[in-house]
Amino acid sequence: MKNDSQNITLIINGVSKSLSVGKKESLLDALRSASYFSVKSGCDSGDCGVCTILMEGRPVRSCMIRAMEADGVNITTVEGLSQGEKLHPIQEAFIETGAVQCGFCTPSQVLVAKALLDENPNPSEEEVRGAMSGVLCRCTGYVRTTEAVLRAAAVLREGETEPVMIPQQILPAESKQITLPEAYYRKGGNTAPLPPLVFTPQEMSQTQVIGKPEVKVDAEKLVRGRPVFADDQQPEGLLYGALLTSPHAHARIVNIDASQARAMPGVHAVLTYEDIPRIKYASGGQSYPQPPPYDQVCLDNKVRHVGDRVAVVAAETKYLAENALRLIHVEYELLPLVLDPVEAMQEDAPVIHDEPDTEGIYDSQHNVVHRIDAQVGDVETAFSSAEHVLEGEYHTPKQQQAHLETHVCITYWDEDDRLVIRSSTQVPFHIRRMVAPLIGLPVKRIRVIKPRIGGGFGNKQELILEDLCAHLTLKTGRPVRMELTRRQEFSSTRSRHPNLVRYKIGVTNGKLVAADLYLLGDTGAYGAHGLTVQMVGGFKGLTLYNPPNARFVSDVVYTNKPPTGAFRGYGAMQCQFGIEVLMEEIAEQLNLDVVEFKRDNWLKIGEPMHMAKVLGEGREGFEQMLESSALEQCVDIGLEAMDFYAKREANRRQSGHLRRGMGIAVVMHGSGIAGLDMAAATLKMNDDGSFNLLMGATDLGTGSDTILAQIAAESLGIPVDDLIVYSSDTDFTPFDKGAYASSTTYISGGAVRKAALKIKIQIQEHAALMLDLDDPAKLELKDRKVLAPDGRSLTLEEVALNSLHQMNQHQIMATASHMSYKSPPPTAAQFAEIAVDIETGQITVERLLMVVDCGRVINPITAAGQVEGGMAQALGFALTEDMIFDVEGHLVNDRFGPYHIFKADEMPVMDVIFVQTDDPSGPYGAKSVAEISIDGVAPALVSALHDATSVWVRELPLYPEQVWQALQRKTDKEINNA
Amino acid sequence: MHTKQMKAIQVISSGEHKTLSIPADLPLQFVYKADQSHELFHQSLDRLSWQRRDETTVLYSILSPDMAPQWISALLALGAEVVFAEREQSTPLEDFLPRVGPHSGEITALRIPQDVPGRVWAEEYVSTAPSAAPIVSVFAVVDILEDTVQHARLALTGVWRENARLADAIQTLVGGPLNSKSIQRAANAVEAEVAPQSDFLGSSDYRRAMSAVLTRRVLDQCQNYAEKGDIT
Repeated sequence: MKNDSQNITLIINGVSKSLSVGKKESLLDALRSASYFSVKSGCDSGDCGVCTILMEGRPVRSCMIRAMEADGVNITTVEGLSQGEKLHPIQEAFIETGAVQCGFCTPSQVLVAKALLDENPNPSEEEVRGAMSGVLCRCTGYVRTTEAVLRAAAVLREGETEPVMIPQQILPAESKQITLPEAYYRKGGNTAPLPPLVFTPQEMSQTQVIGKPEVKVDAEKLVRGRPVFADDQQPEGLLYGALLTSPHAHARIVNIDASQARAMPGVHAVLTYEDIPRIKYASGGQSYPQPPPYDQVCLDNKVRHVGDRVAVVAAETKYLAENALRLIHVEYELLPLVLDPVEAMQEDAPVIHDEPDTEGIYDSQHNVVHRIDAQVGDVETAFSSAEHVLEGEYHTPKQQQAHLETHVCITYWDEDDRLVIRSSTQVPFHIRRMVAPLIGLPVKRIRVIKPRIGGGFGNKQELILEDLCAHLTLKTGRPVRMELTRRQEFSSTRSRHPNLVRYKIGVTNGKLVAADLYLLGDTGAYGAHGLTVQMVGGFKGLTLYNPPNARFVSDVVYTNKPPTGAFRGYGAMQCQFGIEVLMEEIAEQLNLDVVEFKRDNWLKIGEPMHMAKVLGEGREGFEQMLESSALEQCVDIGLEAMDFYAKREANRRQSGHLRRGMGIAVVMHGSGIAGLDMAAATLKMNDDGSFNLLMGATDLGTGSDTILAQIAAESLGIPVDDLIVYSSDTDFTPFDKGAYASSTTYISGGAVRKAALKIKIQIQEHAALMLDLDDPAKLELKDRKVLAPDGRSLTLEEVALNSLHQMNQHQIMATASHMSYKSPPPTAAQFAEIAVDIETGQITVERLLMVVDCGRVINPITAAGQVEGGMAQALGFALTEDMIFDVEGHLVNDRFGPYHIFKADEMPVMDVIFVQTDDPSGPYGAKSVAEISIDGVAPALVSALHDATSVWVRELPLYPEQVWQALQRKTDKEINNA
Repeated sequence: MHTKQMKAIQVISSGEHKTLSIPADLPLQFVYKADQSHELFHQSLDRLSWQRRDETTVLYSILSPDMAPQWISALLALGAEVVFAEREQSTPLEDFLPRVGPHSGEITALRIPQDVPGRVWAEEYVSTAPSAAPIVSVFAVVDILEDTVQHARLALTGVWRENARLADAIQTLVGGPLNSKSIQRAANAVEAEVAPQSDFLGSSDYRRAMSAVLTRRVLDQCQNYAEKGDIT
């Protein structure tokens, strides 16, 4: 028995379990120690709800209850819901509707749904959302989860329900005359979740597996709560790591005394900057060589933000490790700090990176990490001759990714003395390469395993914990687990770059002739992703409308705040906010129809993207031309679905304090980084005609495992079920750069398609041998068979058995790599309908509709999930999320609650419509969908706000006071002018 | 946690007066679901998650009022009193919270006047998102008989140092009619009385302005209900 502990009995899923628990041990920790890994840790402060279990049938947060209080109580976890193989109808509904994305919050959502339906078998949508509001989800936007619960309720009442259907329509030649199914007009206040509507051009080729709403390959294990996440393994002899962080925004470490901590019983290692070699690196998980500067070391003798790394401890228990941190005595010499990027560039600003061993900083004395200056055409001449020159300045917030699974890493030596890193990471191959020099091991002695990931959104495209965890294993010889707390997620990981976006646009005869974009990026204390985020912002921000004369200048500046990094949208979101709002303002000033003004100017098929070559991502780019786009149709369909013009007309005649507004934005993104991103995939045929699909591609809940399997299945004429998907492990899967830059469908999909076509040839060749045919290419693969023109056929199983055991024995197997010098943009039109309270400034979003061209839609359910989740995150970007600091650089809102992410019961109606195109370079015509989904909401909301009130607000988030002040200024102006 | 037998919410009659008695050990979820519960309870407790309502008792909520300030506001506006085991005399919640007057001893229940003749009520708030913690919220309860305000209570959050507090200024309504003039006068008085602190969600000027806007709105609603006869 542990010291200070007692024995309790929990009745878990009907089974009595005796546990020895510590006095302060939470029920969450006790359940996980007893191997109930479905119960998750997301915040330790009761804010997120992913630790929810049922206690006597009622939902409670296990992180807020002491284990001892639960003695003798009946507890239900999701492991207890299914009856052996048979899933509970709620679990089935979650799978069928696509409600499972990363799956981290899924067990708690399923349990809440169970409790609700036990009490109320016929809940309304509002009641479902109200019940689910205590579990945060960052992936789904709650659309499919709500649908899942309603569906499960119907099944439990009536015994069965209709299969999930995706409505399809042929895209007419003239999209302005389109009509939609009635439900998509949302008349009469219907708010029930709708499936995505898919428009397909008549001439687009048919597919068998692609385009179908296949169930995710990982969905079942996620709804069962199986132990598939990084922290769901507890190797023998595991030690617990903890991270000491700086309480100061800028200071030198004068002295660090860890002797008391080291002497503490149960503490196995304490590491400070004195114990670890000083090797410089950049923490962003990017392709080799990573863009400079290499401005970090594992543990430094200077701290540059509150939350910066100071020391690490490994101990027998989590509690011991945390207690040991308190015994590390650090003497700091406080330094002046600077929190504002404009101030940081001034002559007398404190120098944040004054160390002599960092190279590649543009101007360290003025804290300028990078200065980017790129131009095409003759901007000055174009402005001087333009009919109108208009300018606007916009500000975007420091938004945190807020994935529900915190960063967690386990490191251990395997039986071959190789270091294994099991990490919740988006970039396993980059991590392996980046960690190696930091810990003094060659790459070949390191293996990185990526299990299921509970969300990342870019924050796990980074070296955050792996090096420290590895150092502790090297020091102790034992497995070590490190997990960040939620507060540390806010203070010690990454966030979106807050930006000042300043545009100057020249217009003649309604056409953009010149554009100048200045982008000030606040990179925080370290520069990872600083260069590339701004370059992507510049490229996308000047390509959406593609004027022939364009200039991009950017300063990326250090401040004493937690560093920024990669976050879905990656600079494009910020700049498209600026350009879209300015286009609206220009249209107003020039008395132009805003939609037609945008239509006349947006990038068209066949046009070269002028900035593509000068603004690659971190280096020179490649010529690009738009080869596919359905933006016209996206806009027309959205105008129809929203009744855009009629509502805008009606909005002119409003009274009362609640005013309605209708807004629009058009956006584009990319599909991978041209000339840089590479992925590989391996297919291996098994005796029974099934295949192992081994990929380095990193599914972080996006469903990439599933859509990549669909691509392989389509090529091989088999169902997805015949593919055993394994991703991503540096020992067993081929290279993939990882999940970022919207590359997975386009680049990883390209690799899978190539591998599938290669293995298809091998199958055809062997089958031809078996059938004694001369021309293998004439053999068709369909329905798990090889079909000959003369009517004979072989099953794939027959081919497999024959090739492995009987004739010309060999393993039918293929590996292929793919990269592209193209990055075809998905395009989309975002619409928003809002109500604004003009007396308080509060905005209530009533409906969001995104009409998306992502090329061919591989899986409409997973693709819709990406769009819905992206819109939900964008709502936070636009309305509620900003990291706020006091004058000392401490975060004021470093927990959920004060940092508000949208909950299930406050979501607007969100609809998704796809307009398919057949991109010539994408696998089966596909482009990307993951990031474009987040780009449009903010400018569409500002557009709607203006429609409702005639005011422009150029700074996000749109807090009520900000809107109220803009309205006050407008009222004062009208009074003064009267 | 809630496995022991709990007492239920009761309506206690004493002559002409009725009182709702809510046992202190009752989880808030029971209060949320109870048929006898006041509409303002449901509205205010809706701000908490189901889990939190299940885990938190009435007792805990008044001992830690920052946990559910809108619920506390609703209780204040309704005139809740804290009942102790050892004492016959209960303590008004507005005295208990700042620990003024008798406040020690075992708390057994909250009592709220029920079925008060001429009672109307309303709630308003402003927030960044519908379920985000309100920046400012206002709960009003007004008793009107023969077109005259008999009693008025107005509880606000987000405009004091405390999480929730009653505004004394609403007493300007008592003894007179509830009409647009008296409502505006009351809103102005509340605006002058509040002492808001600035934070990133709202400056003190904004919060002060909202106290007036929302006070006016809740009283306008009360007036409408009274005129339509939507009263207890």
